[in-house]
Amino acid sequence: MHGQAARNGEDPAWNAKNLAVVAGGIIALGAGLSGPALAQESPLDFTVCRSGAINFLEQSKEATVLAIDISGVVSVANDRRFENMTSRCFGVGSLINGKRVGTGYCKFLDSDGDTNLLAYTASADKPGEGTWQYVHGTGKWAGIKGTGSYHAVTRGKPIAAGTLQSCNRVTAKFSLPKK
Amino acid sequence: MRSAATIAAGISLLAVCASAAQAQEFDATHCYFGTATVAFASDEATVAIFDHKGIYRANGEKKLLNGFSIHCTGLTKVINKKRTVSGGCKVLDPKGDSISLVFEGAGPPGGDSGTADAVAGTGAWKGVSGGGKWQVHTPSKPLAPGTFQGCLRYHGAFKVAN
Repeated sequence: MHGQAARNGEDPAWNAKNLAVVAGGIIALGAGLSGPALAQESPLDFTVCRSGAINFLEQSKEATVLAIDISGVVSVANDRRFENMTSRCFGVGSLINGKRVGTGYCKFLDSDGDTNLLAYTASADKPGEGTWQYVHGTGKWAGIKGTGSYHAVTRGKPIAAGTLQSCNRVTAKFSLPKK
Repeated sequence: MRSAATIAAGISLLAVCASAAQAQEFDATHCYFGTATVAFASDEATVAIFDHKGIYRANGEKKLLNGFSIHCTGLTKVINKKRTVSGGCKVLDPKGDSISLVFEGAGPPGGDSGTADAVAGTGAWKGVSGGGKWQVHTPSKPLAPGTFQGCLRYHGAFKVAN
């Protein structure tokens, strides 16, 4: 009986030992899947209006390459912690032979001096739209995670040469580590 | 009889003029980014000039200023603890026509309020008059030294005589 069980991989001792390993692995996997202890994801929806400089390295029918440095304020947000945060974005973009590429970073600062930083990627085929993800946070924003999208809701005629004025609506889901 | 006709004609003309200069109401949020240069600063008196650019986003159904860009320059004074602001703005519509505003107000940074009135216009805004009230509602922290960011609500009505 014992020998037969061992041949079939049913040795109680073997099973007890390996079940513990397997169970341990499943628990570890579960922990790995959920990541560090994060609070439940929260929806985020805000509008940020900015103005700033737009500089062209190249501007022709075939190739446009530009850089932006724009600043503004979050004027409307579903989460009060984001309201009135100041924002500054650095980015580069190009449109070469019909192919659009854009990427950059935006930093947000709240009234306590805490910041969060996101990296964005512009849509290749929809001007004024793109996706982004949080990459860094300090203070209350330390460990922030989240991804989302943005689209331009207003784009004014430049009030002065070499400047840019626009408002973006930003939507996402984000989470912060449990304290 | 002649006087009655004259009065009637006058009333008709008045009615035509009134409809020609119909008020266009607006209610918008103006967010801006700018720089300030301090001329002098002490406990007794501070004077600075500022320059900011931004954009309007309409609030609710009054869409008039939605997407208009704006550039303002002005002077801030704090004398005997009382802060006042004054200056002018150029508002540019999507077609490239502009409205020139002069403004004045008072209050602490991030919470000041006042009025802004149209004094000139180009293109579709030639002959513009009217204006409205503004109130800053963002006590925001500057992201870089010498800069400021904020938003204000501006509501009122413009009239164009054409």
